[in-house]
Amino acid sequence: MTTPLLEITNLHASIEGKQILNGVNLTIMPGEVHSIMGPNGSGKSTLASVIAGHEAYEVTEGSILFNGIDLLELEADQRACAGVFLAFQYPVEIPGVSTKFFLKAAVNAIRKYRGQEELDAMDFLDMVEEKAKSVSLNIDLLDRNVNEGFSGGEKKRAEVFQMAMLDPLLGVLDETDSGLDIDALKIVADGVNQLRTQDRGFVIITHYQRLLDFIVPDFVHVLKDGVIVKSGDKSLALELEEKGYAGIEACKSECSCA
Amino acid sequence: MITTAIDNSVFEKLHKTEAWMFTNVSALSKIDFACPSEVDVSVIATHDIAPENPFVVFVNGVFQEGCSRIADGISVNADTHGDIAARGDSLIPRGDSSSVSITGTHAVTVHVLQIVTGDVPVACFGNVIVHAAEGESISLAETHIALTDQNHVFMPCTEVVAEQNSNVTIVRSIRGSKEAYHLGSLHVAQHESSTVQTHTITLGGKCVRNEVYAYLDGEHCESNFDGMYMLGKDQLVDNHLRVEHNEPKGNSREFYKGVLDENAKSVFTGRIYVKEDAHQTDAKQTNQNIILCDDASCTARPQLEIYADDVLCTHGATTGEIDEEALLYLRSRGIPKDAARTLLIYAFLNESLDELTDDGFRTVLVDELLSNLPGGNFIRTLYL
Amino acid sequence: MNNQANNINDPKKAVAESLPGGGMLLSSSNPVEEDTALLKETFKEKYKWGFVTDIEADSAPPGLDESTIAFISAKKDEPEWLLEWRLRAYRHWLTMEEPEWAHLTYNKPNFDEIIFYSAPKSLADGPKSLDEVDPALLETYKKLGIPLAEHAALAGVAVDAVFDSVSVGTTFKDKLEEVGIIFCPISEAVHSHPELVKKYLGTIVPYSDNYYATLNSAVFTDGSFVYIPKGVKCPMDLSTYFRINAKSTGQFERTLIIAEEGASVSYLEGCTAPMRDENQLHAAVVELIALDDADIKYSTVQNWYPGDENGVGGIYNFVTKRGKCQGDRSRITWTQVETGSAVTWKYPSCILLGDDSVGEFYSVALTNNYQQADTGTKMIHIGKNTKSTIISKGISAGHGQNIYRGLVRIQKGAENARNYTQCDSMLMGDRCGAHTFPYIEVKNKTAKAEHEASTSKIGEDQLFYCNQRGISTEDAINMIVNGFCKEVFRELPMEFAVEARRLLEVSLESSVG
Repeated sequence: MTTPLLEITNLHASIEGKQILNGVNLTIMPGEVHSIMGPNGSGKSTLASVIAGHEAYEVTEGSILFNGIDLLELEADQRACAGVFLAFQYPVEIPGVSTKFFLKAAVNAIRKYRGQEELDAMDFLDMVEEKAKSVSLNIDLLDRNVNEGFSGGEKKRAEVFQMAMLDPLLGVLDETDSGLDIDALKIVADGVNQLRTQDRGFVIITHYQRLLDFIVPDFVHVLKDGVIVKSGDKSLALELEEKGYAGIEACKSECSCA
Repeated sequence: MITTAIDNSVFEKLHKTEAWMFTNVSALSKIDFACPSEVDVSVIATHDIAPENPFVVFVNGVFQEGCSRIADGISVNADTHGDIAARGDSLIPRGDSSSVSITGTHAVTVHVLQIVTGDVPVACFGNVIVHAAEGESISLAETHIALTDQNHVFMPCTEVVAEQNSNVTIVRSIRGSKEAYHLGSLHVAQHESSTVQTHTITLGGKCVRNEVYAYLDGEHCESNFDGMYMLGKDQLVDNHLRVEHNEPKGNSREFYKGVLDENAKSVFTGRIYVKEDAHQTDAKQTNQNIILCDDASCTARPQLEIYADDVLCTHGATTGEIDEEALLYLRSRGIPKDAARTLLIYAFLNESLDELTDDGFRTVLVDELLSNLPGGNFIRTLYL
Repeated sequence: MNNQANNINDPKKAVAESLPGGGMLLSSSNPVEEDTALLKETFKEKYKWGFVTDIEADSAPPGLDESTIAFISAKKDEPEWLLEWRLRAYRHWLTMEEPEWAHLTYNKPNFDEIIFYSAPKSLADGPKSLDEVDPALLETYKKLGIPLAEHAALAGVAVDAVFDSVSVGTTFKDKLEEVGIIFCPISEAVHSHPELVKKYLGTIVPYSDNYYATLNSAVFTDGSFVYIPKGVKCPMDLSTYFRINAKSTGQFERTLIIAEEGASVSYLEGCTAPMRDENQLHAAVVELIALDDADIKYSTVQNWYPGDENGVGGIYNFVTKRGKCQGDRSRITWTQVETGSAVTWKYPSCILLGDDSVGEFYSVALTNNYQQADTGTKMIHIGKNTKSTIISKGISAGHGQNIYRGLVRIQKGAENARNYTQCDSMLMGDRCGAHTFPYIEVKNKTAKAEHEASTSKIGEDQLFYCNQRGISTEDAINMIVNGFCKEVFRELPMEFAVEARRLLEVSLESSVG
């Protein structure tokens, strides 16, 4: 039996005493792409933050196993080293720290964890060049401080580029499509598709079906009020597009999904 | 009721203190101040800017009941003052004089006119106490005018208590004679979610000290302290502020700007103090000066004193000539150099006046500004 | 990927084994507590320059009167004029009071208990060549990372090593002499180049300047003297390494650097002291003179013992540093990284007298635990088209208090003078303070002065972002702090920049947790 890549069981989480997740169950096998959709405030971004280990969120009940490891025991950086990557909805700016410098620190921290040799400057730059090409990222951007002076689209592309650099087992994309025009969306999606392998899994969090035209998911889940209320294949996304989330709520009682 | 002459020896050594090091008022210690005597009230009418609004008039610190229009919530009392001023370390003498007390919500701006006049030097006080209870809204305009060319010294002290969710706006303008001393102070205590705005506009006076002490004692206070000055020959303005953030989530702005011509001098000292645990304070302090003449000078001391880590505090000070790029742009559109300069200086200063919401008071101040501004008449021709 | 598969059964172990210091996770029921304990335990090693060299010393008795000054002057066999100058300073000092305007709280030094002169006995017979220096001293400097033997010395850096009150030796002296550069202890320069010392000593910082500068003028013991002749670009960096060793001793060095027309020099200064629970006084004076087209770059990495985590002990660093851009188009650059000392009081300044002269001040000051630093600069614009730049970065952690105090004065004749000041503070923890007290005085209409200041902390979101990319919190903090200080570090010579970065990391270690 293959170990699931991610196994979320009855996950409850709160922030500042406010309960956001109310029992999420989700299992992702290696190689699978799962899309999580849902209205504003349904808990999508919270789920992403909890997986990545954001300290502001308190897990009040439930568990997350990652490759069999209890993820909740790990600090955020340890999770990243273990292979969890979160592409942020709003990537932060870090003044004074150049992107290249930052990435080198990250790549080598992760390589060290995996027992790999640290990369020297030449190999690192080769890798940067190669991966940047895959998302059509202007390499000059990497001399700027982390996310400083990046346009909205550049920030998102830079996140996918970083994912390629860090070679995770699980990529969690938190509304990576928001604020992108159709061309930029294609580039980002293309970048993600290149990273799809039989070992790597993805959680694609999005509002709109649009992104899923380009990154075709194996499963689609609807998150509402902190629980997954419906799961299905990619056709569910189309159904959502048509009926809206309200339509899903109506069906909740009829088809005992989730 | 008559204000007594003061012990003027206090002025002798003020400039030896750090707080007054750039402002020497020792000359005042050598003046024999007279007790204010009977005054001519005929000038009052010309300064009644807003004839529909409540109007409280003092001449040489003496309440002029006959010329005033008192509304509900306004009272004039003998020899009282509030207790906010005692919190700060202001060295300006305090005196007992009749004081105006303003409470309640007022639909229109209350106008307090303080005139100092007479042909012998006069020293007097003027106390205003503003108390905005929960949810109340008070707008106050203080006009301070010195008439005649004597070395008057006027020491107005306004104390403000802004309770929860209240809103207080004060426009204080110092106008008139370029011979008089004006040593004024504003003391503001704010409670939770209150908003206080003050605008201090200095166009007259020989030596003007404007002190602001603000205590943000509740969370979510909003405070805006603005100042503007346009000074010429032998004039000095010393804006001195201390804003204390004692509770979290306060938002304060200090924004002072001015233009100095001839040998005018400006001093700005601003201190933002953020107490331990006053987290998420957002405080900003700016002083901008334009010097038109090499004999003019300015000194800026924008200071931060911070004991909490989750804060956003910035300050800035700039001093210089007007923007050459902008000047070039205007000239490229055919505006002569002098006119273009005047226009830019006016624009620089008028930005502050644009903030004033009350049209009547703004018009008067714009007019006085244009009178002080070299080439100001040209600007008048532009008004349609 | 196999690594991870093997560790599936014990996820904690999997992570612990692969992370630096991760072993803590295994043994402790409360990792946070354990973490703090570990930090405390290792704290003693944090200041690794805190050792004492056991060496016989020749010292003056504690306390200060005219006989102490005569003793110092006699030890150095000084000419009459210098003794008189010292005594003038001393008599003036007696009339002065210790300044209290700084935003600092400390117990004032008891001058009766301070030893004003202490020198290793082996150096008592006067200067020797490096080969003859006491091996214990050479070992001390080697341990500090400053090998004095020329074959082992840092390439391209000449070092003058000052130990308590005397210079131990100067490297590459001969090589420098070939191009006419004088680099020697000031006590030696008094004898070898009296005309230069007499001409310039006290011209930038007069003996009556301020309380501690006046004290220094009375009792200064050693320090470096640098003279770069006309048109000479100094072929290597010059460096002085100051070491306080003896107990109860004050160090009062005096440095004088003269760059003649068209000359240029880069001078570096480093300092350390043993860990002691007393407060030792360091009151130095540095004077720089730059003539037409001359260029002096003065860099300091100040790492005096800062006291322990409870604020006990540490050096009082009360220093007057001032440079005069006397010539047209001259330039003086002060760069300082201040991580040490219990109390710092220091304002390296520039007098911009020559037309088109340039003054620069780049500073990183870090205060952790109970350290206090009141530091900044003065830029006095007198000449036309003078320019000054001030970049100050203050970092406060623990109960540290960090104060920027700076004066920019543009005099009436300083046509087209320009100043730009940027002053940023970073706070780490909520019991520290960051304060900014600028003074800007402008008396010329064509002058422009700009001052900007900001205060920030390391955002939780920034740390999370770094963590999410696999970077540990400690590394992330170091990275962000380094980014914060970047504009200053890039002004430092390469080796110093590396040293500064490392120091900052060590100094910050106990603030993370």
